[in-house]
Amino acid sequence: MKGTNIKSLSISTVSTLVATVLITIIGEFSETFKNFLKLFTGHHWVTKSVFMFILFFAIYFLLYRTDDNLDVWKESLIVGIVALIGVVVLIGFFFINYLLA
Amino acid sequence: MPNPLIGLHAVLGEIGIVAFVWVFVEMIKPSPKRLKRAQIAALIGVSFFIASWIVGGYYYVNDYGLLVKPLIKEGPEPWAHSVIMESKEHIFIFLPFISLFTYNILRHYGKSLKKDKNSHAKKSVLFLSAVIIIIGALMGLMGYLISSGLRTAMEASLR
Repeated sequence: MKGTNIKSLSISTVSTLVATVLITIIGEFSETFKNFLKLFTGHHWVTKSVFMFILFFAIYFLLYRTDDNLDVWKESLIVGIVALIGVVVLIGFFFINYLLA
Repeated sequence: MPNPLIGLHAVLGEIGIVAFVWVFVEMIKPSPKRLKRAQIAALIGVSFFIASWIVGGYYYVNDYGLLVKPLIKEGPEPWAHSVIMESKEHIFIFLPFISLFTYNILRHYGKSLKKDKNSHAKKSVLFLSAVIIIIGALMGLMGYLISSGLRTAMEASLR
C-alpha cells in the first residue's frame, strides 16, 4: 500500500470545507432541509459534523488511486484560501441574516 | 458556575492552536530533529482539535441550545448567538480537516523536509499552520463574545 495521496487529501479537504458552508447556508434558507438533517441524529449540527467526517474520508478513498503528481504549495494555497473565504462567507452570511431578521 | 465543558472545550482547542504554533516554529528552519518534533506537535494538534470538537459539540447540543441560547437571544446582545455562535459552530468544523491535511504533508514530504530541500512543502506547512492559528484565535475571540452575550443578558435580567 502506498502512502498518503496528498492530491486526493487536498480535494477531500476542500470539498468538506465547501460542503460545510453550503449545507449551513441551505439549512438556514430551508427549514425542511434543516429538519431533514435533524432526522438522522436529532440535531442538525451533529448530522453536519458526522456527514462532513464521512464525506472527507469517502472522497479521499474514492480518489485514492488518482495521480499524486502535484504542486503541494498550489494545493495548500487552495485549501488555506478556501478555508479563509469560508470563514468570511459564514460570518458575512449570518451577519446579513441577522440584520434582515 | 459555568459548565466545565466550556472550559474543557476551550483548553483542548487552545492546546491544538499552540501545537500548530509549535509546528510553525519548527518548520522555519527544518532539520531531522525539528521535523520529528513538528510531526508530533501536528499529531497533538489534530487530536486536540477533534477532542475539542466532540466536547464542544456535546455541550452545544445538550446544554447551550436549551439553557444559554434562549437567554442570549432575549438579552441586549442577541447577535452573540445569531451571528457569532452560528458562525463559530460551523467554522470550527474546518480545523480538524485542515490540521489533518497539514499533518499528512509533514509525513508525506518528511524525507525532503528534514533536509530543508523542499521549499514548496515547507511553505505549505508554514502557510497552513498560520491559517489554523488564525482560525483558532478567531474561535477564542468568538467564544469570548458569546460569553459576553450571556453575561450582559444575565445582568439585564437582574435589573
